[in-house]
Amino acid sequence: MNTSVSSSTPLLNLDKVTREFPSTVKDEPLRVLRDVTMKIEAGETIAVTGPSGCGKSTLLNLIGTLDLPTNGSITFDGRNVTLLNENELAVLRNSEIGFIFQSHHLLPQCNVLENVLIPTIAHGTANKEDEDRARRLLERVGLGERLTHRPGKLSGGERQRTAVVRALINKPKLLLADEPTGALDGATAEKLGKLLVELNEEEKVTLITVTHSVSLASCMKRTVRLAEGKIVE
Amino acid sequence: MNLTRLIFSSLRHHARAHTGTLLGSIIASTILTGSLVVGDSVKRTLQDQAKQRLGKTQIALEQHDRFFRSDLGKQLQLNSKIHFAPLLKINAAGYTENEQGQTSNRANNIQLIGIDDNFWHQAMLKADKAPIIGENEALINRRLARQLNLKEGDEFRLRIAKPSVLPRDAPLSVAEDLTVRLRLSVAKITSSSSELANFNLRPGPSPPYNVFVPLSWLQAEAELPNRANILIGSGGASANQLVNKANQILKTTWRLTDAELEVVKNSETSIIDIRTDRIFLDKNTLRATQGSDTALTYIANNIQNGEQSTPYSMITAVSPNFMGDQTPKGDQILITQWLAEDLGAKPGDKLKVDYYILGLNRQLKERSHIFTVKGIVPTEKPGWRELMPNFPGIVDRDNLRDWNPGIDFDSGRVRDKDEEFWKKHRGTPKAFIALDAGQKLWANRYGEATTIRYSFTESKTEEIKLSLRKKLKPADIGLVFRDVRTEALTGKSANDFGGLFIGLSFFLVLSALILMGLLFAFGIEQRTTQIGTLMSIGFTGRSVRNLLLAEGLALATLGAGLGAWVGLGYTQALVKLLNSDWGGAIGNGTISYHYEPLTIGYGILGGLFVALLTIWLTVRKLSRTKAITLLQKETTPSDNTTTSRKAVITAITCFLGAIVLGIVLKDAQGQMKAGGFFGAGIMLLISYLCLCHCYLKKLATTGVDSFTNLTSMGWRSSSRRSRRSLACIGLLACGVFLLVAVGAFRIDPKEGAGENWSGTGGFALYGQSDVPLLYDLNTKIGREKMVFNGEVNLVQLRVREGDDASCLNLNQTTEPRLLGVNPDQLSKRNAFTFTKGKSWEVLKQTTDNAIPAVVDMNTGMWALHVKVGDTIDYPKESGGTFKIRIAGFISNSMLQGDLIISEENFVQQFPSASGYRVFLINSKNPKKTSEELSYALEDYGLELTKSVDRLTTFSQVQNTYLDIFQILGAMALLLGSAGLGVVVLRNVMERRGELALLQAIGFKKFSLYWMMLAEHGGLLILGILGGTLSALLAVWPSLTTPDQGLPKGILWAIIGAIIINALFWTWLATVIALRGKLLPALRDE
Repeated sequence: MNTSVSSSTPLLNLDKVTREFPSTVKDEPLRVLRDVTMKIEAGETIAVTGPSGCGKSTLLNLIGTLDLPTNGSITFDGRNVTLLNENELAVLRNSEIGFIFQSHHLLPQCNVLENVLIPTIAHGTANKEDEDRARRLLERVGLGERLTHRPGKLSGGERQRTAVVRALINKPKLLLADEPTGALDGATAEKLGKLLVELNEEEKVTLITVTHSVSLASCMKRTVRLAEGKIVE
Repeated sequence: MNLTRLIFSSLRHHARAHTGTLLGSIIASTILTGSLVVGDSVKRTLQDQAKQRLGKTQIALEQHDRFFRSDLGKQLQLNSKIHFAPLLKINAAGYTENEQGQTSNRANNIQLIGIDDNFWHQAMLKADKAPIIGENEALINRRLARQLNLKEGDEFRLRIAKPSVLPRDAPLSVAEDLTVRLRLSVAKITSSSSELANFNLRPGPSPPYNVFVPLSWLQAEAELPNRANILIGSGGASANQLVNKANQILKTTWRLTDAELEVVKNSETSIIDIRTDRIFLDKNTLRATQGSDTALTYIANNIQNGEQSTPYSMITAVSPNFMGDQTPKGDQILITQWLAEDLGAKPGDKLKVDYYILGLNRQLKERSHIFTVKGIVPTEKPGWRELMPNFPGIVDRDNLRDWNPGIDFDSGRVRDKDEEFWKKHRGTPKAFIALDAGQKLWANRYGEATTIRYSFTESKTEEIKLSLRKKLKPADIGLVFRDVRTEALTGKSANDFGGLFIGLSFFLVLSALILMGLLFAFGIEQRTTQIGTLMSIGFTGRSVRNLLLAEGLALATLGAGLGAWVGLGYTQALVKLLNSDWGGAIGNGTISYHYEPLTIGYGILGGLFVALLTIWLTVRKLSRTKAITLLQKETTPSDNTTTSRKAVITAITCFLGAIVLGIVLKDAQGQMKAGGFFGAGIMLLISYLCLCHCYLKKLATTGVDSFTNLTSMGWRSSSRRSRRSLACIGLLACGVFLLVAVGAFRIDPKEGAGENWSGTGGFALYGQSDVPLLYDLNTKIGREKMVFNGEVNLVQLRVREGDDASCLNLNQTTEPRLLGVNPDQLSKRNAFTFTKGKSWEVLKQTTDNAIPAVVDMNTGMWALHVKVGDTIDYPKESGGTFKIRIAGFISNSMLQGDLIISEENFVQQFPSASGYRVFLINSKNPKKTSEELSYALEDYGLELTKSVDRLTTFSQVQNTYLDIFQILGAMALLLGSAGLGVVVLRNVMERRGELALLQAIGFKKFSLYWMMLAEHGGLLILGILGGTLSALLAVWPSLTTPDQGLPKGILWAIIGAIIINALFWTWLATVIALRGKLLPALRDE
C-alpha cells in the first residue's frame, strides 16, 4: 500500500520511482524498487523498515541522490533531482542532506573536530562559525572532551555520534540514516535513537532512517514498510 | 580545517601505504635523471677530449697529399692576438729495438708532426714555457710512450712514407724510395692538458700516437723544404668569425706555389710558362688559363716508320695556335728534322707511336696510335726543350741510358745517337701532335696538360700571376679553413646517450611505474569507503580525484626530488660500469662523471610527470564512480559482455594483423623485415593478452569445469580480480618478450666467421698500412715489386683519411674515412651480407651525379644517421664537395666506420691519394700469411688483425648494449616480479577471512600455500608463455638470417631466472600473508 500524506508542498516527493539493476544471471534486469510513490513533509521523522533485500537502502540512496532512479522522479524541496547534474547533486547533498551510515566512515587521519568539519570544505573552506557550530554540536552530543581524538581512540557510540554531527554540520533539511544503530549494542543504540529524535527537533531537520530495530523505529513518527520493492504500509 | 590540511593529514595517516608509491616514484626519477646525466657525462667527456686535442685551435686548413708554403700563416696574421701555426703531418710507424737490434715494441698509425714555435700559441702552456726540441729529438705523448715503453732520453725509430709532390700513382712517377727511416730520442713526454700532447684535428675513440719534431728538421728529412700540409689558427673572437676572416684574407694572400704552380719566365726564349711539380696541370688551372697556349708532353716508348724506329722520345701535344698554321690537327704529326732523318720519314708517312699508360695498380699497359706526318720542323727551336716537364728520374740525368722513369725502361734500346740527342737537346720534343689527340691518349685523372705558355713581356709575369690568382680560388685546390672547434666543443656525440640510456632503462621505468600505480591503486582501494563518504557528503567525484591527485603530487614531488639525488649515484654507478665491465659499449674509452643542474631539473620534471601520469591513470575513473558503489566497497562495475566482446575483436584483429604483417614482410629486407616482425610479435602479444582477459572473465562467470581439487580452486580465484591478474600476466609477458626478443639480437662474431656471407666477408685477415702499397699483390709483378715471395689472395682498398665513424667512436662524425674498392672483387665472392641493396654491383651505378657508396648498417644508422638513398656531401681533393649516395647497407661487418665507394670513382675524386692502405686478406693459413706479409711489408707499417677479432671488437659494442638492456630489463623484471609478489600479498591479505574459514573447516596450511601458488603460478605460466611465443615471432627474421641464430643458452637462462624469481616472490608473499594464526581473521570477516 502506498502512503501519501499532507496537502502542503512536501520536502520530498517520490513519484513512481523504480530502480533496476542489470542481472548477471538472467536476461531480465533485477527490479529492486517498483513504482514507489511517497511524500515527506519537512520535520517528519520516518522509519523505513522491511526484510533484507526489500530495497530499503536503495530507497535511501535514491532519496539521498547517491543513486538515480531507472524510472520515476524524485523532487526535493521543489527540485526534480533526476534532472540535476553530478555537480549540482554534490552541492545539494552537501548543503541540504546529511548522511549517517551503519558504519561511521570517519576519516582515520582526521580528529573528531576535523571529521565533523569535512563537509564544510567540500565547496569552500571551513570558517570560524562552522567550527563554533561543530564544537557546540559535539558538546551537545557529549563529545566536548573528545574533539582532538582520532576515530581509532573512540568507542562505537562515540564514532557514530561524531558521524551524526558531521551529517548535521551544514544544517541540512534532510537527515538520512542507514541502519545507524546496526553496529551498536542495545543501550548505545537506544541512546543514539533518542539523540536523533532530539536533534530532529532542535535542528528542525527531517529524519529518515532505515532500520531493522523496532525500538528505533518506534521513536519515529511514521513508519514506511517495504516488501519486494514496494511500500506495503 | 582546509583542503591542504586534509591532504597532509591523509599523507601522514597513509604513510605506510604511500611508501610503495614513493618508492616507485623514486625509482622512476632515479632512472630518468641518472640516464640523462649519463648524457651529460658523455658530453663533458667529449668536450674535455676536444679541448685536449685542440688546445686553443679554432680553425684548420688541412691538405691531403698536397703541400703549401709553411710561411703562408705569417701572411694571414690578422692581428696580434691571432696566431697561425704551420704543421707538416706525416703518417709513421714506430718501433724500438733491443740490444740485439730486434724490434721490441711497435706502434702503427703514428702522427709525426713537424712544428715550430707558433704551435705553442695553440697550447695552454703553463707559465708560457714551451718544451724545447732539438734536431733528432722528439716530444711524444703518453699513449705512445706507454705503447713503445719509452721514457725521456730513450731512442726510438720511425718509418715514414716519404711525401711526394707528384702522386705516386701518377704516370711517370717513380715508385722508389717510398719510405724514410728516422732515428729519434725522446726529449720529453708532453702533458695532454697544457702541451697539446694529444693534438688531433679529428675526433677519435682514443688519443692518437703523437710525435712532435722541429718543422724545419722534418721538412729537410722529407725533402719538402718550406712546405706544410696543415695550418691551424686561434685567437679569434669566435671560430666562426675567424674562419670567415681567414678564408677571406686567404683569397689575397695565397700564392701560386701554394697550389704547386710555378710561373717560369725566360727572357732569352721570350716565353713564360706555367708548370707544376705535379707534372700535370689540373682542370681548375686549365679553366683559369683558358685561351692560352697549352701543351701536353709525354714519353713515347717507340716511334716507328716501317722498319725504322726511335726509342724514348718526347712528343708534345699542342693547342691550335701553338705553332701557328703548322699546328697539327686530328691525327697529324709534325716531326722534327732529327726524327725525320732517323726514321726516314716524309710528309704523308704513317708513324706508329707506342706509349705506356698507367693502370690503377701501377700496371703498365702499352698502347699504340697511328699518326700521319703533316710536315717536318727544325730539330729545336727556342722554348721547345722547356716543354718537357720535370719528369722525376729523367730531368736530372746526364745520360739517357741513366733514365729511371716510372715506366719499364730498357737502356739497351738507347743508341748512341739518342744519347747524343739527349746531351745536345735534352727533352726537346721530337714530334708535335694536336692537343685534342694528345689529351685523348695521355690525359689522366691528374691533369690534361703539362705547360701553359705565354709570350714574354716584362710586366706580363706579374699580370699572369695576378690573373691566375684571381681566377683560381684557393678553395679549388683545397686551401680552405674550416671551423674545427665549434662543433667539437658542443660535445655532440654520435648518439644521444641520455636518450639511449632512457631507452635501455625503459622497461625498468615502466615496471617501477606499474608497481607504483599498483600500490597507489591498492591504497585507493583501501580507502574506497572514505572516498564514498566524501562523495556522499557533497564532494564531487572530480574533487575527490583531485584530492587524491594532490596527495599523489606531493608524493611524486618528493619521489622525483629524492630520485634525482639517488639518480646521481645511479649515473656514477653506470659511469663506473661503462669504464669497466661495460667498456665495450663506448669502445673501451673512459667517461668522466659530470652533471648539469638543468639536466637534474629535467630529470625531476620527467620523474614528476611520469609519476603523476601514472597516479592520474589510477584515479582518473574516480570522477565517474558513484559514491554508493564505493560505500559498498565495490569497484566500478564493468559490463563483462561489452569488454569481452571488445577484447575478442581486438584479439582477432591483432592476430590477423600479425599474420598479415608476417606474410607481407616475408621477403622484405633488413630493418624493414626486422621492424615488421617485431611489430607482428607485439600484435601477437596484445592478441594473447586480450584472450587472457576473456578467459579470466569467462572463468569469473562460469568457472572451470572441474572444481574438485585445490589447483582448480586456486585457479578459479585468479579470476576474482581479473584486472590484477591481467596486470601480472601483462607485466611478465612484456618482460619476457623484451628480454627474449633482445637476446636474439646478440651477435656471435665467431659464428660462420669463415663464410663469405659473414661479417668477415670470409677474409681471414684485415690489414692496414701506414705507407700505401702501389702494386697489386695478387699479381706476380706486384709481388715481385714488393719483394714478397709467398702466395696471397687479397682485396686492396684505397684510403682517404677521415673520421672513424665506427661505433667505437663516441663523437659525432661528419666526414668518415672513405675506402675505394674494386666492386668486382667483392661481388665475385659474394662477400658480406647486404641488408639493403643487392650486391657490390651497386657501387657501379652512379645516378644524379652522386657516387654510390656501401656502408655498414650500424655505421649508417647510428654514426652517420643515414638511410639507403640519402646523399652526403663529401669534400673533394680539388676543392668543393661531391655527393655520395648511400646505395647499400651490409650487416654486422668488420668494415664498420668507413664509407666504401668504387675504386674508379675514388681515384677520380682523390687522384693524389696513391696506392692501397687497407687489405682484406684471404688465407687458409692465416698465421703463415700474416708472418710472411708482416715481414715483407715491414717498411710499410702493416698491421694485421684477425678478421674475427676485428669483428668481435665491433660486435662487442652491440652485445654490451644488449647486456645493459638485459641487465636493466632483468632488474625491471625483478621489480615486475616484486609487483607480482605485492599482488599475491594483497590478494591473500584480502582473503584472510576466507582462508581462515578454509582452515576452520579442515584445510591444512600447506593446502592453502598450494592453492595460492596454483593461482599465481598459473598467471606466471600464462605470462611467460605469451611473452616467449610473441618474442619468437618477433625475432623470426633473426632466427632465419644465416649470421644470426637464437642464443638458446642465454634465453633459457633468462626464462629460468624469471620463473625462479617470480615463484620466489609468490612464495614469499604467500608465506608473509599466511604467517601467524588465521582464525582471528574470521572475526574481521
